[in-house]
Amino acid sequence: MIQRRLYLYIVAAVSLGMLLVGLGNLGTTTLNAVLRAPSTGTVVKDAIAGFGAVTLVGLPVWLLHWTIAQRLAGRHPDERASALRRLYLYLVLAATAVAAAIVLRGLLEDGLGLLLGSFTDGAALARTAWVSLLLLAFWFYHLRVAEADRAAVGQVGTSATLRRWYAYGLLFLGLAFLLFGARSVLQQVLVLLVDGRQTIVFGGLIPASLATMLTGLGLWGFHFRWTSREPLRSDDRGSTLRAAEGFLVLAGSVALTLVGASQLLYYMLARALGIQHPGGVSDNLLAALAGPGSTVVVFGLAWVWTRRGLAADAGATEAARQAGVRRLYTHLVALLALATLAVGAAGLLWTLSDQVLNSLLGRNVGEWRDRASLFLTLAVVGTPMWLTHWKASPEVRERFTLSRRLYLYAALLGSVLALLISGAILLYRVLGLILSTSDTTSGAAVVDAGRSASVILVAVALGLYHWRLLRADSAARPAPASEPAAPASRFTVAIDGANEDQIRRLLGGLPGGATYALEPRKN
Amino acid sequence: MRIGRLRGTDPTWLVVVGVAVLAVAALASMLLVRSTQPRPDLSTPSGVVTGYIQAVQAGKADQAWALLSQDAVQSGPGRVGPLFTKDDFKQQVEGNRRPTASRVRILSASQSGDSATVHVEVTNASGDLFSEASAQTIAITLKREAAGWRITSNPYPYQFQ
Repeated sequence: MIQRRLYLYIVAAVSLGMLLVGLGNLGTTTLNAVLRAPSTGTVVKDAIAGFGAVTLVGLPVWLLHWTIAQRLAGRHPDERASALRRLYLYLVLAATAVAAAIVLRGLLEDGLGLLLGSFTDGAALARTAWVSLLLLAFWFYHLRVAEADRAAVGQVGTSATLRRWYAYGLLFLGLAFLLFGARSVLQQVLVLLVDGRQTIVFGGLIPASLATMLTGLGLWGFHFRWTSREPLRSDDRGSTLRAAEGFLVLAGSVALTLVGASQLLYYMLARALGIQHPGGVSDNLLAALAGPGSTVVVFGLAWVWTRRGLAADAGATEAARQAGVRRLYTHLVALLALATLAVGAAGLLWTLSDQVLNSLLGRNVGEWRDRASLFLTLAVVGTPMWLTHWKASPEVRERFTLSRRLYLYAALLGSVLALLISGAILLYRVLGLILSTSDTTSGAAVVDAGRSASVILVAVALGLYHWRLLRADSAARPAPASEPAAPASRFTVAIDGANEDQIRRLLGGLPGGATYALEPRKN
Repeated sequence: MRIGRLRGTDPTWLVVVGVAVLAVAALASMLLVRSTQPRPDLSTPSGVVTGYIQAVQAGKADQAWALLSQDAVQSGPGRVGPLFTKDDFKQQVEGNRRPTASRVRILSASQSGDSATVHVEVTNASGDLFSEASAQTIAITLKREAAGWRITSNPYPYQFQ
């Protein structure tokens, strides 16, 4: 049975691939011949011969094997519910959906470019339209078949997991298209609004960004609504894949929002402190802020949206593995925020120490405002993120989790490593000063010692804090439950059809201390 | 709209409305800025650079070629690398046109006697699916000739296509 299924679906998949490649290229070659000069006649004939052969082999083979597979599925419910059939269907769905999304994006970009005058190749547009239609037709047909199967024989276990891999994978891809496209469109609009007069050619950036955003909307919108309808909604609410997709989106949105906010704050702070080109940006600060500003708006909204969705799922019934994914996300963000905060704080102290010591030693003070803006930004962005994601004393079921211990040990490890390296540098510089080594005359040793001390201060503070928390967690950990007392009950078991040796072997697995007596029953 | 009614709305429609607003804003801002753009003033260094880049992106090789100084395309002392004939230049301008052309902004223009420098920012869509853009700054030098300002620096058209 399994061998027949394997054969049918492998041949169907390969022949379908041949059919799609053949049909797609036959169509584009024909369109080329119709819409372009006839001088390419020889090339057209070659292409028609090659892709015609692929189509003529792929079509009957696929039709034959797929018809047999459909007939068997119609007769036998277990055939229709088989995981192998679902694997075939969802693989074909994923491949055609991803390919269709890429080609449709190109079609939209070219179409918008044609409307706005940045693209003029009408034949290319017709070719892309043909391939898009072909892929969408096959995707839609397989979706109908998968839906009919699910309605007829249900979908549980491996089959449901395969469907979730497809649905949440495409949901993630669609959302990525949508968010990155929207970010790019917003950035282009803001640049045009604040610096439109300086833009001498628009190029194809707006059509490209719009195409990405609109393709993402279609891909995400369809799969979002599909998974939000009953019965899929109830089936998937407790699924680990759904939670993993949500937290992956959340982690990405949080990280990108933080990067955007940091850049935004850094540019503004540095400009306020009189730096003309912070981070090498041009004179027009508003145009420079368009990029990070768009990132904050688009990914900040995605952050809020995803959080609400995950909270709604968790509010209904949060399965154990979903809760594990949530904790992992929370502690990962807390660790990243702590690292940002630590770099910001140490950098600020470093810059301050440089200023004070260089002034006292009569050395060149140098530029400090750009660095101070950067480190202040990191501290300002990292602190609230850490405070909102880290709980020093959470409730008992959250306190003794693996992800919390990983966070605590990672924070302690980072602090100790920073302490070791900076401590060694500080000691080296102090010893150099005591022994008046050759490189201590210029005052650089004192400045270096000040920098190391800045890092040590932050590392000691964070290391001590996390070490104390580890100790507190260990002290609060409940003692393992003692072994349950051996039941005092006695049992009488009657066994037929086995000899004494076999029964003694079986009873050999009883715990230590247990006794038994065998008495043959006389009939 | 009352909050109660907003709460009852399918959240997917909020995203659709947001995307529609963004798309309309993008198209409107592009058309608006383009309609208010003056023709390039070829008596200024910025105008010559603008005219050159617009001609390159429109595939008008003859117009672009007319704005180059002979210094930019002929060999001379200290100059290395391949130089252009007019036919080479024409082939590059017309053959390298890309569907996703670069956006170009003028960052600054400075003039000193008969020479000038114009800094432009060229932003390319990197060609990936997520529309990530990468920007680079290019300095274009010009000198005043009998016919007006002409470009003397590297004239390779692909950098603006």
